[in-house]
Amino acid sequence: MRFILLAALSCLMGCGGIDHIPDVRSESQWRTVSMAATQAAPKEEAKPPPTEVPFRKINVRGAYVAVFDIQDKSKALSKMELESLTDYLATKVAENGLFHVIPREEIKKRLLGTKKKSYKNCYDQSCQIEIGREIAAQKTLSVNIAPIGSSCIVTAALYDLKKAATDATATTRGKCGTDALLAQIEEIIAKFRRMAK
Amino acid sequence: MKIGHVIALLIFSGIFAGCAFIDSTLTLAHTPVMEKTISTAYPVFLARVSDRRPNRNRIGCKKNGYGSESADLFLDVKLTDWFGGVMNEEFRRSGLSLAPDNPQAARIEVDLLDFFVEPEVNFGSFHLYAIVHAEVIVRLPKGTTFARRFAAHTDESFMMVTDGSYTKMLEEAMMNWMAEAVVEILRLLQSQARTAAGWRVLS
Repeated sequence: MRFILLAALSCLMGCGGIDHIPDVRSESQWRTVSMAATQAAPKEEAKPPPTEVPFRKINVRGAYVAVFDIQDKSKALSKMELESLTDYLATKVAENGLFHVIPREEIKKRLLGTKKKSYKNCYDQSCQIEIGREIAAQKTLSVNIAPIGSSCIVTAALYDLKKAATDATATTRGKCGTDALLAQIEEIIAKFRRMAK
Repeated sequence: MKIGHVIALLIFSGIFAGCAFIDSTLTLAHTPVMEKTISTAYPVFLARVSDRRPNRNRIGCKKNGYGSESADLFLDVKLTDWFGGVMNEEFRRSGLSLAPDNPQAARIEVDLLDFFVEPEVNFGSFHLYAIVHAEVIVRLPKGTTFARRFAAHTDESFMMVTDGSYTKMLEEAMMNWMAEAVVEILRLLQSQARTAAGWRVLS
């Protein structure tokens, strides 16, 4: 009983508030201001910001990567298109030595060997980690297409098997047609390319 | 109080207080929110993003179970560069054309006033609050200057807080901010273009 009271006491000690989030709201209208009313920017901030979202450079160039099948939750692509898009992804990420891509047949063989229901079913992270380790990959690359409203969001995650943590992610948003998804995959690859050092 | 009780109190306190003493560096990803909404490609130029936050060194804090700050959160890239890059991407996606050399381009400036994520410690759970608050200044080529402050808040409860929880809250707040601010900038540019074309605005 005393222990329960002590536990409750220690729980009660854990309470507090927020100190750095002011309760400010958006203004409802634009104000016209004179040029002098706006503060001048400090010298170091006077230059324009980059036109692309900057990335932290990560040491992934040349890593041995297992590229898994793209998961299409939008059902916008046919089986053949999905397979072609995965092949395209695997080829493009190997261009200019960005990644060393482990042949997809290796993954297929392992999956059949481990009696998974089918090659397509290895979408969850635990399966991809298991297979990735079996084929001695350093990283796994998984890409997911998900419908949100009338758009499709493509997310890609590069997972480091040794660190057991995600190295980098990239996201794009666009239309759900085949051409639009192809463009999004190219955008994802371009993002990884910019991230890699 | 017996020594056993003191030990038990320390153990329970340790369990329920949680330990968050290690600073973290977050990588924020931005999922674009804008769709192409305009057919006329108004030229714009994001001239600067200035950091006017009260504390420029960090983007958030961690707390222990007693509610006191125990570690800081940092962004892996310069915040103003990241914010500007995201804003330029949203401008492009909404159909605006980025034209720094065009004298007819609307010059846009951003003063970042708050960008922070912070937990509130409750009984056995953490409630995370995030804010993105910035002033947008739009200087039109004919000389008129408009300013407006936009604030986006997010909050959510978590049983366990990880770096991913902080990241999620800031990313969502950023998406909300962009969704509001970029749409309002577009509306302003469209209304100014209509006025310039001789149309009167009726209430």
